[in-house]
Amino acid sequence: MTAEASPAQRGVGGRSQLVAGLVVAAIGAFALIAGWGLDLGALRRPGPGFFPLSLSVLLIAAGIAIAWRAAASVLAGRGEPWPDRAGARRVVTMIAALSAMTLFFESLGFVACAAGVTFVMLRFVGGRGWVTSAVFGVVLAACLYLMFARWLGVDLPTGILARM
Amino acid sequence: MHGFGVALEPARLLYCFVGVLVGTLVGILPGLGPAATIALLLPVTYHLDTVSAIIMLAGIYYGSQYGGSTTAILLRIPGESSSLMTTLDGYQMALQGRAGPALGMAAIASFIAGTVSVIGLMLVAPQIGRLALAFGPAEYFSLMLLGLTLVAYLTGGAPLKAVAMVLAGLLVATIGQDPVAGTERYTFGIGSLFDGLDLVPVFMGLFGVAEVLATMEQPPGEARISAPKGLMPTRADFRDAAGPIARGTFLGFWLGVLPGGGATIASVVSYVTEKRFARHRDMLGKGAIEGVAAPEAANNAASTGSFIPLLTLGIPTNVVMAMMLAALTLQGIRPGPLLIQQQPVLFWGVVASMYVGNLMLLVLNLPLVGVFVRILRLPYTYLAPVILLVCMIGAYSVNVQVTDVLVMLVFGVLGWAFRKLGYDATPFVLALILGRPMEESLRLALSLSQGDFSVFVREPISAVLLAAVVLAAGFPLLRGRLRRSRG
Repeated sequence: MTAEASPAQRGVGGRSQLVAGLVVAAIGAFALIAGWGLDLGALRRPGPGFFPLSLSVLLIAAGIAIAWRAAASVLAGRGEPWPDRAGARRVVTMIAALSAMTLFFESLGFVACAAGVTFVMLRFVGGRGWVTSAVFGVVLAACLYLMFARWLGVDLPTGILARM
Repeated sequence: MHGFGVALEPARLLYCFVGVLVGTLVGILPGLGPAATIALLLPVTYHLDTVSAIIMLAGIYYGSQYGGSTTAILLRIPGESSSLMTTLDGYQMALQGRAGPALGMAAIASFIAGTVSVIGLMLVAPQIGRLALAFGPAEYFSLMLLGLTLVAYLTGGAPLKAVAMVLAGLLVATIGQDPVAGTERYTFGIGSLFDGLDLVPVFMGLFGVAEVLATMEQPPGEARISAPKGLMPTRADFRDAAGPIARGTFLGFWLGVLPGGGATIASVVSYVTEKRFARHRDMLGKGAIEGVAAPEAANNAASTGSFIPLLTLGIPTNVVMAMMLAALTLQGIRPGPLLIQQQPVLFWGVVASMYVGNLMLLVLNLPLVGVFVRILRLPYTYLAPVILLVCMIGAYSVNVQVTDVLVMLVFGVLGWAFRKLGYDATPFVLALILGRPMEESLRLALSLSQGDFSVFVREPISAVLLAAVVLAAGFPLLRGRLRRSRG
């Protein structure tokens, strides 16, 4: 399962694994720097910095070890392969739609945002027709709003619907 | 017996029924697991009383173990990772026209194992609870360290990556006020980080959003299946399956109790065991009934067994139990050795509901297989936005804050990347939930011992636990060495 593993078994390749290891180490380094001012305390009275700072150091070590083993291609990638071009487009579309929803959640309100996200998911990710996507989006948003906001009493933003 | 009085109240019966029904459905639907579902329903449980909430969530967990086997047998798609082993023989049986008996046996094995392991839970949990009364901070720290070590080495994938995930989870848990002195850590002046990251948005991101991203990345496909006829296994089937069910139940229960164990590992271990002991061991993988009975018994027994460490020690051993802990915490209950005495209604009510729920599942599953098959034809494209939107509502409703939705989104993208790179999210989540109690007990133990680290090895229970940590961490390394020197 080491260097001889076939590409299909390896999933995401060695270079991604190397970068991932370095990212892990970088997160540790960031936590170490960001928490530098925290009081370490003494052994008999460990301060607020004791736990996070020791963890940061260990995380840097783990990240370097992962990167090292990836570079030596000992670490067989057991993940899944990166998406192809079309797959990547679908993932980016979904993330963009969700980010937009988060950004406008309170100003536009739940129903408008939910209908929009559903429409994008069906039309541009799932490849359904324009009309089907739009109708399903509006119906789903309305149903969820009625169920959660009206029936279960969840406090969802009304946004533009309230102003109309 | 008092527990049955609690569990048989009409409202509780209803929540139990809703739980096992929802559990069966999410078990059938690939791409929506029990962990994500329980995360989705956490906000709903605010409005329920504690007993009903936990009865319903527990029902989802063991119900999903039943449901996962349906898709495994009919489609060779494990609805849950714990039904992966069932695909081997179950699908072969379906190809041979014996899908019905395979489904029937899966349900019967699950029922027997589920019921027997509830009895085990009743007998074992109070004993462990009594033992845990003697635990001080040093013991708790060592126990949590053992739990995280076992999770890191047992959940599969490269142990080094799992260790990195544990460390990252513990580090993220330190965000917010420090539990002893109240100093702010890693809040960067952002007010909503003051109390630390809320668990619900993180869970929903890692298990709900990430799952949708990964599934929708593939081009949409259609599944074609037809409903099977005649569910009763033959007399010979029962004779062949009796041993595997008994072994699967026993192994599954104890693997469930073990941290890092749980339903998936239990099903794998029981299948491997049958390869040695089953009557038709050469037929395994070619459609032997033993290959369905053993893993299905094991995964159900394990899901019951894993409640023991949660309810008696307050330590979740897998992701679903981490969600349960979050649900209990939301209700203001901190599980620990005193739970059985202080909350007898909760403990015995939930235990009794498990008997009732298992019975409901048996009655529910066999006649409804045809309906479930029809649900399977529902394209995932329509399900995906529903999952995403319910996740959003759930994350938002925790504190009525958009920042929580943002946190969910960030962890959703992270979770997707984790999958691609082969980093398992489970160790991260368990470390995140255990981070605070672990830091507290470490600091308390050290100040009680005046900074003397040897307290962890001088206390006998703690020493035994730490020895187990060393063994658990050392064994895979040693095995790797041996294998390399041989190869």
